[in-house]
Amino acid sequence: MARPARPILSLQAATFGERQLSTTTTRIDLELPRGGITLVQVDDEIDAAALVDLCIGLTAPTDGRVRFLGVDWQSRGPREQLMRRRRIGTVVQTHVWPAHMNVFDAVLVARFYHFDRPRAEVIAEATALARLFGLPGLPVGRRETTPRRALIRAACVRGFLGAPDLVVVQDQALEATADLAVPMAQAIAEALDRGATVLWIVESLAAEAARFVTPDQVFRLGDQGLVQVRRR
Amino acid sequence: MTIRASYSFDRSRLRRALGSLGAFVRQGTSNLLLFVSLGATVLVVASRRSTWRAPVWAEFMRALNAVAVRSLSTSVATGVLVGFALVSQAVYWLAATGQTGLVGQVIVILLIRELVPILVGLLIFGRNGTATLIELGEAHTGGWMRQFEIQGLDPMVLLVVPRTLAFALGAFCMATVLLLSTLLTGYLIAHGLGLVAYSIWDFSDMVQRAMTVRDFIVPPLKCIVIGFMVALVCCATGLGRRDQSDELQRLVPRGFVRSALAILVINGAFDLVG
Repeated sequence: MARPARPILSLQAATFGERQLSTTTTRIDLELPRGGITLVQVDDEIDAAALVDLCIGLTAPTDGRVRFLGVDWQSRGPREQLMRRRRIGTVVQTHVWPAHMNVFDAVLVARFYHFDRPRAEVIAEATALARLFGLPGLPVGRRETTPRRALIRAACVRGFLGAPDLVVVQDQALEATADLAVPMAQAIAEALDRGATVLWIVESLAAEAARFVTPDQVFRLGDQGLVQVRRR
Repeated sequence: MTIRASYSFDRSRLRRALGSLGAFVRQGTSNLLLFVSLGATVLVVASRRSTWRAPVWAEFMRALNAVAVRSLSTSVATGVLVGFALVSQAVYWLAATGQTGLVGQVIVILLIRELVPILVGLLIFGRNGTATLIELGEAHTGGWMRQFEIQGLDPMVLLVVPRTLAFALGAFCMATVLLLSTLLTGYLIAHGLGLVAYSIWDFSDMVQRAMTVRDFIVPPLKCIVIGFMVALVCCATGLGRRDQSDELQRLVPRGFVRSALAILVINGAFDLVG
């Protein structure tokens, strides 16, 4: 008998203490199987960011466990946690870019930091992704001189670059961008074909950018934790 | 009754004063220990081969370029001004007292051992340290520190180590440029005013003869340590700003005070040990 596949990310009775729109502590049980997409609706942006932090081991749950690729984040030291995050792609805080780098370097820095792939190969992959998201190539200017539209798309490139095992998407600015719906659906489909898992945390299940995505699981974060819902 | 009340009032005031003094000392000691541990961590991390990945090298080269190359005009201009003031004055007064043979010794003691390391520290802070303070000062508040952590990028490796080492190496380069431009300007002015009659080679020979082996080791080492410490102070102060209530404008004066203190302490420590 074949053993069931190990989930990429699992939250078991993970509680996060303080929430913006709830006075109770919220207990979360969630399993993300390999090659699936999960949509989670979270009303408040700060709660959504807190859920991202919980999933990728940036904050510890007050109780319970969060495992990535079968390993509890809390059982690893800070250095190893950082190393393990190289396998996670994130499309979060699309407006946030470092002050001392241009957008081009900021998109590629994690790839060159964690992996020894040839520079030309990484740039070619990033350029292909940039074109998929509607850019002529990766923006080379500083954040101040790059249009907002291009920054959002560059953040998408950064998230999907390097075939990550898990892609976490969470940004309200992204959700309202209707012309990203098709490229996002394409990028997600390619990632799923590769065996990646996608977790998309949205403010509204009717988000324009997530229009063409067909999720395997849909949840809503309520006072009692995650509740399975049906997307209309 | 009145005497007792006044006695108790004095005691509570004394206790409060001692309490604040104790808190100040404890806070200062704690900050100092944290700073020392940060310095030691930087050295340990920098000595690991795995630290030197492509983006870390790129960041190191960028910081070194900013300190050593883009500050070249500032170093030369400062050297010219100091040379004009210091060397020509030293030569003038020594010539006036008939002690021109001491020119070399005066320059070595004043310029090479004391003035250049301090000036280099202040220049590095002014040109590059303030930029680091502002860049890193918005790392937490601007949200990009979280971005770094989300991507698994170690801020110590990617931000602090390349900057501290680049500042240290850059301080040595800057000191060399500053010293050469000061000596050259001083000589040219003194020669132009007819204060000295010897050639530039004799002047150079005089300075070098006044130098001991220690002068080829200690002042460069002092500059390197000062550069390292200025970077460390700026990185620690910048990254220490965690929320918007700590205004960005207050970072630069705070960083300046700490850097100036570090420069003077290192200068004094080297003088004491030397």
